[in-house]
Amino acid sequence: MATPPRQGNHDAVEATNVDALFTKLSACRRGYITATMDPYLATLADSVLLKGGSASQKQKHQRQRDDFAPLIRLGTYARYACVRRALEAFLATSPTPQIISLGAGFDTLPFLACNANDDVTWVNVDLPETCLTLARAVASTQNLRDAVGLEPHEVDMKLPVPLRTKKYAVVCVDLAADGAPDALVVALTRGELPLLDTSRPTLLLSECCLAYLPAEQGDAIVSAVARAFPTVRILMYEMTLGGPFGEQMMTNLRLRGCPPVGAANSASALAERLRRCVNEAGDSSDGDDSWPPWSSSRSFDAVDMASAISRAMDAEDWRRVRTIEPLDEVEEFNLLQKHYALAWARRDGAAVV
Amino acid sequence: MGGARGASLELSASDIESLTRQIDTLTEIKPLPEQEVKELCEKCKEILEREKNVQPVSCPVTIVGDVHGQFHDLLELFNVAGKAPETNFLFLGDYVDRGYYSVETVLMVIAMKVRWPNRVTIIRGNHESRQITQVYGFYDECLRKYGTARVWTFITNLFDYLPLAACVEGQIFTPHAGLSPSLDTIDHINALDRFTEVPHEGPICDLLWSDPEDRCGWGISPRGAGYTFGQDITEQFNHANGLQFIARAHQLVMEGFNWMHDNRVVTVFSAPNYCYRCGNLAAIVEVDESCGHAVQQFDHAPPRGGADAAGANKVKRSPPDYFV
Repeated sequence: MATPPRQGNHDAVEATNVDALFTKLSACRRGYITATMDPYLATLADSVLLKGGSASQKQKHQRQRDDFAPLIRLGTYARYACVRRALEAFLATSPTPQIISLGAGFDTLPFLACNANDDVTWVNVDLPETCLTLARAVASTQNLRDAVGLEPHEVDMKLPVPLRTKKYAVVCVDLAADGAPDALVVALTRGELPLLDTSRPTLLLSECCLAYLPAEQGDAIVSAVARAFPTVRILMYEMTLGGPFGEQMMTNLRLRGCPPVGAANSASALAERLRRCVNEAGDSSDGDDSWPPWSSSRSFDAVDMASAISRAMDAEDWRRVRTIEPLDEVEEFNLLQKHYALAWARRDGAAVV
Repeated sequence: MGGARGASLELSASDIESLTRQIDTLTEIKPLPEQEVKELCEKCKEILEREKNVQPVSCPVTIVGDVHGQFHDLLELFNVAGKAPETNFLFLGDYVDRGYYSVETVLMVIAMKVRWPNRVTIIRGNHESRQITQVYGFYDECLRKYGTARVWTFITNLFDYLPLAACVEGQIFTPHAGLSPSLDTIDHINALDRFTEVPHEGPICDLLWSDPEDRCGWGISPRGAGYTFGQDITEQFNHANGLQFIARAHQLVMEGFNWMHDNRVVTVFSAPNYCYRCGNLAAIVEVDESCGHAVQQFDHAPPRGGADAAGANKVKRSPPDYFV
């Protein structure tokens, strides 16, 4: 059903979901993410690996050993901790929060959020195989079902919405397809049973997703969501591919079949793109806002992950994970972190009709 | 130590013949049979156990930083620097781990050392250790290539004999990593008992783990071993030991070399596009007959990422991991 992206291929891009799950699982096994912090990671991983489709089966064989380098676990944890902190701050300040998570794959944040909050609505947007694998995994796993309040009759495994509860839905939209920006908004707001209410405060979350699309497509998707949801916060975790390290990263990811063709060159370039997307949608606020918790007063900004670690992470928690394993790869770790950015924007405006 | 070599260290014609053959085999990126590795390690031990903790080196010499199993790039380095024995080499450690050809790389420097002991100097890096090689790849590579860990055992036993540093003409001090708060002079270093696994702390650990820093004084290392040391520490050490400068390796630097502390410390890193991920250049430092120095940069060996040029080896290359 899906229109193939103009570059790269669906399978390789979709396989990044399984890869991200494996790196988180590796971080979990070594105690970076503890079972107390996240009781869903181990059960979701188990379920996805047992019931996964072809792409995940392939990865399973490649990754039977826990063979990630320490810097991958540490960086995975930094990403997890920063995004989780921003999410929790958003949930704390919004009485009826909505989250749109693009290309979230097998992220466990929806289960944590739904479990902790009765009035949350969370929508995962992904490609068909991931949506179906995720829906099956949730339906067959007790603690995931409980977290999202899933009753057996609510699972019908039919695309485009294979799973939906009062709090949580999994919806299939091919973000690479022509017309995807509008199709996404329609799917979220104008179905027979709209998934989301445009008047409620909404967080658009996107981790390593839009970079796989051409920049114009990614920007059009962000703009369309910002137009449709007047009170929106946006949080992105993306690769930024400047310099020789970035060029090599593009080469290596191209070899894997998932070149991040839409990646910005730097954190500030990514922030600027977000600003344009949000401004295009309408007024943005420059007033004081406590979100994200490490934010400047600007309504849009971005920091590279090397700075995010000191700015956005709890210092004591960072010390805890930093001593789990010896890290001989200090320079490489810093280089890698400098080529990822955390970017955010917010819009507090009237709906543009 | 100079010319007082025992008769046991003289190479026979058949030794020379087999060493030449071994170096040729390695150049074709084929590992050596287990028995030959064992014998080579024994011969190398005999040479190294007579060397000082800070081994004196004469110029001219070419100083090489971390290679980390990137054997194709080591061959590229020989294209740039020339080959032994026409070129003398001082290797600053970290032969193994991270790259796909640690076995071939470390055997090459060992064979070169045995073949031309007075023209090739090898010292210990923090990866020449039993513990680190079990985390960063050399142990797994030995298992993969030989089916047992015996070769890993022979080679890591040899690592305990490697000198801790070298010093070129009494003017350029060359540890793998850096200085130690418990070592003021080269004589202090020479007084240490080095024949042991790299300890988790103390002077030997510091020489193999510390990094120069912009901040003055001693600092806590982000690596969890060794220290960071500032310009004041470098100046003091260089002055106390009559040194021109310190040449060390240990840290990835994007240009392959990096001068710090007002040109009193140079970092030299000889693994281009480190881990097939970093996009960095590599460098070597050439010290001429009059002890003048010049840095030479070089790029990674073609081809990249795809099939290996030498079809003989069956290393499966997977692209490095990212957060995706």
